[in-house]
This record gives sequence, C-alpha cells and structure tokens, in this order.
Amino acid sequence: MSMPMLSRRERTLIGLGVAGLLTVVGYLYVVEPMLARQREVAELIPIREATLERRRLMVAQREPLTGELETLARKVEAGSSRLLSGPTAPLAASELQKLVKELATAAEVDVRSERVMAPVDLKGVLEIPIELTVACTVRQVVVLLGRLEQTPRLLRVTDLKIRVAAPGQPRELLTTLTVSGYLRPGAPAPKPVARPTPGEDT
Amino acid sequence: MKRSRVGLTFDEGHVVVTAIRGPGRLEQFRLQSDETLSTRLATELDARGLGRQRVRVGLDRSLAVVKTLELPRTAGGSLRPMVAFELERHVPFSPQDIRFDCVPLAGASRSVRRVLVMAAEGRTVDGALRLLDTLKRPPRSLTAACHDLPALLSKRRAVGRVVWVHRHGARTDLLCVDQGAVRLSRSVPTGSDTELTAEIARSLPLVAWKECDAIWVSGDDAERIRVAMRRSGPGAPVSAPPFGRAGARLIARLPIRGRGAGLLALAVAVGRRRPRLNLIPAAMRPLSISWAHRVTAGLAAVTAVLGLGLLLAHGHAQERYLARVSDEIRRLDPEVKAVERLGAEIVQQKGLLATLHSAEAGGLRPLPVLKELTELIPTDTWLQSVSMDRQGLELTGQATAASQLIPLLDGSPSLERVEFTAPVTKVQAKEQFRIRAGWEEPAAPRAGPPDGAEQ
Repeated sequence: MSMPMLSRRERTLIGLGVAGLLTVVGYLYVVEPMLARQREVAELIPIREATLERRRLMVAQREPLTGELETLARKVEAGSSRLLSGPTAPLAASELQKLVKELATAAEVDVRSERVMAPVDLKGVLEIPIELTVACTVRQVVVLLGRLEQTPRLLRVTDLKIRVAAPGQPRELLTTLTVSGYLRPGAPAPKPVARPTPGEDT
Repeated sequence: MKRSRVGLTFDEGHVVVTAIRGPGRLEQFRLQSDETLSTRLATELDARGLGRQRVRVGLDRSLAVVKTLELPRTAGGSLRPMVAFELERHVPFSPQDIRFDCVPLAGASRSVRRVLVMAAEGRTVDGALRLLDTLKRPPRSLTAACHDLPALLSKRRAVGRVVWVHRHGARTDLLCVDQGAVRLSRSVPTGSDTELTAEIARSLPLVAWKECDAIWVSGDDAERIRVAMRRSGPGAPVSAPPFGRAGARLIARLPIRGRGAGLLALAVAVGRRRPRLNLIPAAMRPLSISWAHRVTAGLAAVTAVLGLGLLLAHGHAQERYLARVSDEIRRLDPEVKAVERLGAEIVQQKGLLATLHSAEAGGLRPLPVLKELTELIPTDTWLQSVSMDRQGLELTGQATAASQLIPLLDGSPSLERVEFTAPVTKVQAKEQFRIRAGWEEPAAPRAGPPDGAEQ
C-alpha cells in the first residue's frame, strides 16, 4: 500500500506517530544521555571541590610541617649524639667492646669473658648487646655499674647476674652483665663525646 | 535527484502532458484520448522516467463555471455551505453532481461578501481523477488550465488590472487578472477580432472594472490578434504577456504546432502547488502546510533548539567548571605529595625519637636496686646470687628465717609479686631460699644511689 492511497486522516496519524517516535528516540538517545551526564557531573563537582579544599588545606600545612620536621630532626640529632658511631653493627659492637673494656679496666675488674650478641632492631635504632663476665668484689661491681651509667655514650645494662664465685669465698664475685649500646644505621657518625678518665670513682 | 513537475491538460480529444525536469528542461507530448489512454499514458510516463509524483491537472475552461457570487456576511457562518446553496442557481448541473471550490475576494462592502467560485460537473472531475488513479499517480491540483497562466509571469513586474486573452484551437479564454491574481475567467468561442473586443468589453463589468490597464494576448495566432486589436483601439495597451525569464525559456522550447494548448499545459505544469481554486476533494488533497503551520513548527523547532542549546550550555559550563577544578587538583598534586612526604618523614622521626627515648629510659638501673636490697635485707641473711633482667629480680641465699624476707621485699617500692620459686630447705642452722620478684614499674626500677648488694 503506497502513501498516496492513504487518506489524510491516516497520513496525519502516521505523521503524528512518526513525530512521537522521533521525539521519544530523540529524548532517549540525545536528551537523556545529556541529562545523565549532567547529573553525573553535578554529583562529581562537590566531591572534587571537597578534594580540592582538602588539598589546599594540606598544602597550607606545609610551612608548619616543615618547621615541625626540622625541630624533630634537631631532637633526633641531639638524641643520636650519644649513640655508637658505627656505622655498621659489627663496628659498633667493636666500639662497644672497647668502651666496656676501658670501663672495666678503670674499675679494676677482671674480665673473664665477653661475647657479642645478635643486634636487635628497635624500629630505626639497632641495639648492640654484649655479654661480659667479670670477677670482682662488690665494690668493684658497683664502681663498674656506676661508670657504665655515667659514660657519655648511651649504654644500658639489660641483664645482670651477680653470684658468689666459690662457697666459702663470699667476697669473690662472678658478675655476668649484658650491656647494650645503640646505633642508628645509615646515620652520620655522631661527634666523639668526652669519656670519663680511667680510674674515676663514683 | 530533483523531482520533476508534471502537468496534464485536455485539448480537443488529446491529452497533453508537460514535464519540467529542471531549469529549461521541458518535455511535452500528446496522446489520443481513447479507451487505451491510461495504459499508453502510464507506459509513456514510465518510459520517460517520470516517477510517481503528484500530477497537476488542468481542465479546459469550457468544462468549468467560474463566477463571482455576492453573499451576505454572516457572523461565524461557514462559507462552503452557503456557496453550495447559492451555486444551485448558477450552474446547469444537478446539486448532487457539483464539484466546486471558492475563495473570498477582497473589496466588497461590509454587508456583502464577494466570493470567486469555480464549479465543474462531477463526472468531469471524477473522470480526471480516475485517470490518475489508473496511472497510480495522485493529483496535486485540479483547476481550470487558464487559471495557471499567471504562473508564467514575471513575479517582479506587478501589473494592475489586465485582461488576458489566450486562444487555443476553437476556444478563447479571457482572464481578468488583478495584481497577478485571477478575478474572473470566461471561455468564448473563437470568432472575429471585433467579437473578441466586444467580449472583453462585456467582461469588465462582471469584475466591476470600468477599464483595464492592459490587454495581453497569447496562444494561437496571438501576433495577428494583437495587431488587429491595436488597430481597433480598445483603450488599453495591447501586448504579449510579460513572461518571466524562466517561463520565457520554457515557452521557447514549446512546439510551434498547437502552441496555445501547449502554453496552457506548460502553465498547468508550472502552476502553484496550492491553486486558489482547486477542485480536488479535500480528503484527496496533498497535505498543505500553511504559513501558520510553518510559523508554529518553526517556533517549536526554535524552542526545541533553544532548550537543547540551554541544556548543552549548562552541561558545557558544568564540564568546564569540573575541568577547572580537576586541573587545580592536578596542579596541586606535586605540592600535596611533598606535604605527604613531609608527614611521613615526621611520623618516621617521631618513631625514631620515641625509640631513642625508650632506649634511654629502658634498661636496668641496678645500683638503686642494690642499695635498696642492702637496706631491706636483714644482716643475718646471706645472698649467694642476685639476678636482674627486664622482667624482675631473683635472689638466692640463706637466712635464719627466709619467710621474713617476703614481706620485707614486698614492702619495697621497686618490687612486687615477691614469692619463693623453690622450696625453702634447711641447711645447718640456715634456711636456703630462692625468691623471685617483679618490677613495680614495668619500664625500670626507680633510680637510686648505687651501693653494696651482698650482706
């Protein structure tokens, strides 16, 4: 059936139908995608604005954070001045052995044995422990412990065992102590600190 | 491909078909009107590649009645029923057999409305439409052929009141044209020039003209008629119609033989899409889009375009703003990363500082503990060993009354949870003991001056 055979009413109805169809198709495929995109953009804008505001605030914190970091760095540097110079754990252990020997000599104790133990990682700081066994009197032990506490290097006694060397000889003691020094791996070597003079009593 | 215009007229037992395919491209052919006309015409049209477009049909003026009717003005009255009622008195057909169209004319009084009416016998109109139906080509217009003649005029040259004489074969058509619009037409038998002049004079009162501005003569024998009329001096200048450039170019391509009928057929082919008087029934007319429709559609289109434009502009503005915000975020990215690195370094440095502090605060402080033990433990007690670690203190020794040591040590501010870790045994006069105590403070015992440990 060709179009000329259709009546005006039929042609009008067909035209209206086609126009309606075109309107619906245009809305579905042109207007609706545009509206959807606009809704999406409208939802995205406040999120992006909030992100931008957060970033601006963060950038504004730069100066205070830099100042805080410098303060912290100074504090860490100051705190690191009493650490072992290292820069590696074996070298630090050697330095610690030498230091403790000097203190033992100054305290006039007889060093029977010494043993370097495995270093312990304390989150950025290595603990270097050495175990030392000395034969001495009570007074000498006290002197040794006092010198260990007063040394400019940061040394800590983590374990101490004092026992009588032999029954019937109560003044002869065998003391085993674990002394730990500390090292910041990778940090520049701290400046040498003044050591106590050998033989200094506490 | 540009669509061609096809016009169809009837001339003395022939059908004249005119096709215009483009500027100056004219085809015109005649076919004998007999029983096989429709078949031959369809074949001819198909052979010439003239598609299924609508065809303009021009009736011979003698087959139609064209009159100007004066009707009373009525408020809200529909014109067609009034014309149909009035027309019965003016046409020689039965009322059921009338096909007519009408158009109001301007220039009447307030109480009277003048209407130009064209009417034809039903079988004439139906016959023409039936022919097109057998050709499977719909009609575009059906009118008196001579009414399309003004379509050939130049549109730029507006002439006032003109009587147009067009002769074709045995008939002569007279058209009263006012500003290019047909006000009246008559068909008179071809006679002498004097009779023609008299017919012109009789026609003027019918359109309420006292005189005309010009007389145009066209069709068969036109040049001779013009010369003769100029000699008789009708009172108005006699000339050929001022055809337009396009019309003149097409007229030049018409065959010499039967020029009057050919010109009519050409006029029908180039005629208006919607002639003022159209005898096609309303239901069969092609959909016509009036200026009001066009303006409405245009406004709707403009509104839609503006709406879409607004939507697009709004979307575009949003997209641009979002792009600016995103650009700003991207621009701040390096600075933000630097600040984040600063924050991470601060956390790291704080951790390091805390570790250093804990290292300084950690470890044993044996001297204060030894001093406290010296002060707390009775003089009759001998210690064989003292062990300290991060968890606590262990003492081994001999005492006269080992059980007395527990409350003494438990009273110490540095120790807690004091207890025997082995059974107390009697050795000679002393009790052998092993005591374990935890540190009061988990970090380290309180500081104190060093002193001797063994009693």
